[in-house]
Amino acid sequence: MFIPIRLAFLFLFVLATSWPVFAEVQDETLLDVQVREIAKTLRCTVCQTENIWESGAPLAQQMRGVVRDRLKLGHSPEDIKEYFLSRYGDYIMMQPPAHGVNWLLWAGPFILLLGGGLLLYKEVIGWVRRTPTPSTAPPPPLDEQARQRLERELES
Amino acid sequence: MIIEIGHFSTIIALVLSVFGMASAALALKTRNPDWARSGRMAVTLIFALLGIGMLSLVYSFIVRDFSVLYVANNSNSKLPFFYTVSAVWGGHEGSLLLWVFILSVFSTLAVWLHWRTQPTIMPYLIGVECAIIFGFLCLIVFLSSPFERLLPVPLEGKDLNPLLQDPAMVMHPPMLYMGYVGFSIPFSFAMAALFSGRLGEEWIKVTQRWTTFAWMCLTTGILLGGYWAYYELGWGGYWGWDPVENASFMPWLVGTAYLHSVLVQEKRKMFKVWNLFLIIVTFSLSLIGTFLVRSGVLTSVHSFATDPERGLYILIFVGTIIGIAFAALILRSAKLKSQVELDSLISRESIFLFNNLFFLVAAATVFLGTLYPLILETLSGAKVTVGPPYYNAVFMPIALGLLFLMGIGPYIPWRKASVANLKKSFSLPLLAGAIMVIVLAVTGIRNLYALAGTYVVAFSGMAIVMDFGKISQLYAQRNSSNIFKGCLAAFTANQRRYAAMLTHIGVLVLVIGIIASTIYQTEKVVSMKIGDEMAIGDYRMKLTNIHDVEGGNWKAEEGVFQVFEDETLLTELRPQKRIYNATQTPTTESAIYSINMGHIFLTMPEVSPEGVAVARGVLNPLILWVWGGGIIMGLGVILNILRPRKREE
Repeated sequence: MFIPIRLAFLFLFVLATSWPVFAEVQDETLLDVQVREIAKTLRCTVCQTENIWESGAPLAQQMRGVVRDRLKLGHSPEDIKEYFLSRYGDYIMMQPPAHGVNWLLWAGPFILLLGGGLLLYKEVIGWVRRTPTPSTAPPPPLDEQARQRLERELES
Repeated sequence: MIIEIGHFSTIIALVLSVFGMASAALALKTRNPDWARSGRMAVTLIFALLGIGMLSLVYSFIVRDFSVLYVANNSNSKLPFFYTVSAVWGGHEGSLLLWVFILSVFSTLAVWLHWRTQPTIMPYLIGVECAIIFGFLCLIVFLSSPFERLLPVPLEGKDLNPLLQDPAMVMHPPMLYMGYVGFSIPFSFAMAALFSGRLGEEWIKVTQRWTTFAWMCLTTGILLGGYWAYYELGWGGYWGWDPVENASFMPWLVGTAYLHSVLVQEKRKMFKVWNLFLIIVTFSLSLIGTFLVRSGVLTSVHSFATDPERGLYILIFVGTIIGIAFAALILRSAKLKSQVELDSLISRESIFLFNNLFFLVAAATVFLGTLYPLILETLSGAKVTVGPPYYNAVFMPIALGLLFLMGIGPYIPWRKASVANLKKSFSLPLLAGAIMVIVLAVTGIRNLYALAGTYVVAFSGMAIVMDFGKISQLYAQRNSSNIFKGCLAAFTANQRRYAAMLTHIGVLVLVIGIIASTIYQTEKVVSMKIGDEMAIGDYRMKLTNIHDVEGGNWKAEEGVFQVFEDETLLTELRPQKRIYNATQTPTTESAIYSINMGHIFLTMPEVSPEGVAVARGVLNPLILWVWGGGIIMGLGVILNILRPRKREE
């Protein structure tokens, strides 16, 4: 009598321990998420263009610790960024702040694109104007057009 | 002894490169074909001698001859055999030797392949190739020789950088260099055209396959680098806008512009100066990329060497080549004035020009971002970081514009497009884009970049599919066969065009993968004890064990994670935290499970002595599309290169 009951208990025990639902589910706390968000914007100073979140360097680990400690003390993300900026300067941010001469960096590509686009547009319009209009034949009927398209596709 | 043979061969190759330049000059001066023939022999011998140089280095690595300084620095008695061979290009000196060896292979191929058809070009080709070989061999022989001996002989080598002990890293540098060096062939032909004054379309037609091949190698090299970064650096991303990545991306961007722009000259005999300009810039950026990476001027994840002397030499050498090339272009520009005939702003010619503008601005952006910190520090001493947030913000609009042009360009006729034509070709694609955006918006996707990206991808994809479908149907009707045979007939009838369209589809697939895996990436970092679980997305990961494992030259702590979806066990992932014995460098080895075209990506960056593991889980949706898109692109390019020759070519 005892043996089957014991076996049943054993079976239940094994089932319970192996069943994943009974495991303790760990999740990121709000603090973890905040640390991650901030860490991704800060540069690991001993690494090469890596942020302190992605870097495995001991210094990055320390810096993540600083971020975490300050968040625990109630500092806001802005305070923490200010703290790092005051200690390391602009270098610590993963992107140059958009002030002073850095405007050149931020606006440069768009100035090039717009300026280049405008120049190119003017040039193309000029070329078009100087090109004599070719005498065009009257438009062919529809299925003829399809045939011509096929030919054009064949040679292009 | 063996390594001295290699050293000696390399020195003779250097001498022969001077001889090659001299015989090229004499061939031009005396018009005696014997001189060209001896130039050809010089190039061929350089290839053979550098082959001996490479082999001697490979041999020294295989027998682990630590009396060779370079071997001692980049190898170890416990390094697996596979990596002892790839360690040949694991460091600065060896990778330069590989560069110039590939250059000699391509030069020899080009000289023999085009010998009959391009006799007048040959002396120029030989001269230019020998000049580039000469520049690199001087660097190798005088400033960074992989053949140096080390005394006293150490008992043990320092080992190859553990990050490079990886299959993707074995192939990444050779592919990248084949791309860089491959562009030297169209560059040399362009220089030959400039020097000889034969400025027609011939050099472009002759080098079209070379260009495509170089582009394919460069693309593959870049993608392999991304793949390596993805699973080896362990942060779950594949592109970090690292200066070294940027260095390879810049020639790719301009090379892609060139690849498209030459089509205009082939068809319409226009924009001659522009194409010469583009190939010169492409090859210059290949050289600058090599300079940036190899001089140590950039400090980045990949830079392993710093040496100002070498940097200065490469700078002067690269500057000389670029200077000569541009001087030749400027001196010839009067002769190159071609009559530009454009019938309309809405024509394929004009779309190609705007495509070039976007590619060049993209390249300029990468250039600016990469060099800005250097320039700023030199001028004002201020240090800034230009990282991924900058590039993501600035690059996105440019990329969207390019993708949009990609949908338009191939379907606008040369010379002039009529309104009816535009309506017919683009109303359905525009609609397709709108429908996709509405569908996504309804399912709750609000990210502006995701929506805009989806719109252009749907637009361009629809344009490609519609066009090919129509043509295939016409073929099917004409041959009265079914539509599949029609597709095949259409493809083979114009393989060059439709192979290119296949590459475009690959780009679209890649872009979808990029959008999904960057914007919809989920990431979690959790501290876990054995028995704990973490939930990420629809999946749960249970840490069941942490144990020690040992490889040939490393030891690791390995976490065993069971991955569940609902209650079903999907797989077991085993990320490792490795320590390589020789250098005591830690690396994190990621564990990856593919599901629904995406990845569950797991690393275990830290394990505390108490047995608490820090686990980082990343869900990368649709990331397989990134690599799949790359493969489709490659397939398109291979079909393009292997197309049957037409009579007019």
